[in-house]
Amino acid sequence: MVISIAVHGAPYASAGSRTALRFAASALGLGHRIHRVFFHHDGVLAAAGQGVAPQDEEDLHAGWVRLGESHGVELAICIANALKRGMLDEAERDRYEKDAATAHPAFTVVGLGQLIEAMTESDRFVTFAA
Amino acid sequence: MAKRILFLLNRAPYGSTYALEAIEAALVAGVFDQEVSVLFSGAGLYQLLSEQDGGAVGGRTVGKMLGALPEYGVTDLFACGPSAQRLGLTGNDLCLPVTWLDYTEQKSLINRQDIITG
Amino acid sequence: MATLHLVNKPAAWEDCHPLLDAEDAVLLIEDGTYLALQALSGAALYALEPDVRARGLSQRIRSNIQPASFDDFVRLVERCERVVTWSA
Repeated sequence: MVISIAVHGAPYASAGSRTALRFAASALGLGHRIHRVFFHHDGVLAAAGQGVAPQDEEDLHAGWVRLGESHGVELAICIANALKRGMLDEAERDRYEKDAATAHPAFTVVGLGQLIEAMTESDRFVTFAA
Repeated sequence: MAKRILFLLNRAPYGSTYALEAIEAALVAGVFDQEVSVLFSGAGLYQLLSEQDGGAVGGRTVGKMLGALPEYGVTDLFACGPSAQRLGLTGNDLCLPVTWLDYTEQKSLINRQDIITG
Repeated sequence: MATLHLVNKPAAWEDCHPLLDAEDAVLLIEDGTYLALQALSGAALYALEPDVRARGLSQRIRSNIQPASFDDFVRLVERCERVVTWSA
């Protein structure tokens, strides 16, 4: 089955980012395909590449990057929501002449059309609320 | 084939940007040639109040954004009747015409959908 | 099963409950698992086991609520035709 996921909450501030990550890993383990993880609202903060997790807390950003890199899952952050929250990839950093690209390159910055495309191209769409 | 997508909006509009960002998504869904509908429920009904002025708190006016939904092809706007009763709201308080649904009608709306999101 | 309802906050039950069909399933997740202390009804009821355990609810969960692993969560998503998330 083809599944897409929306993550609405920021990692740590909301449990949803972690729940979504565990759900995605289980879905892959059971043989499903994750078409796209769409990070929406504060969910875009999962892309923050400069975070340092304490040793006794799970590093959610690293978990998402691992999921993306080892399973080829597309990690998409909503451009409108990301820009205002300071999540920029290199292209957006250059466009807005900011100092740093804050989003890890495992995440792609996309428009809301990709959210709707994820809905139309998947058998199931699961929203993880903040 | 077009999918039936329901946006379930149940958050008040100015306490966070949640409502605003969800409406942006609903507007984009409208141009995708899908069968998009919106259900306002609980505190989400406050998004529909007339006379909003988002500029007073440094943002866009959510009611005005909702007014653009029909132009984007989203004309199926539903609202939870029991929520309105609980919150003391009637159609006269709202900036857009909506179709009021009772719980049974909302169940059947949900059961017709392929995708439900907020 | 028709619809899977995800409930991640106790306050969301008020919005979710009136819209449950008998064939539906409810999965309590995150803080929604505190609802497992209450007498709930209206659909097949599940609670996400790691969230239950984290909150000290394992021995307190009502007998009509089934613990569900993440694999069970995925299977519920497979079996249901659509997923709706209730938050508050």
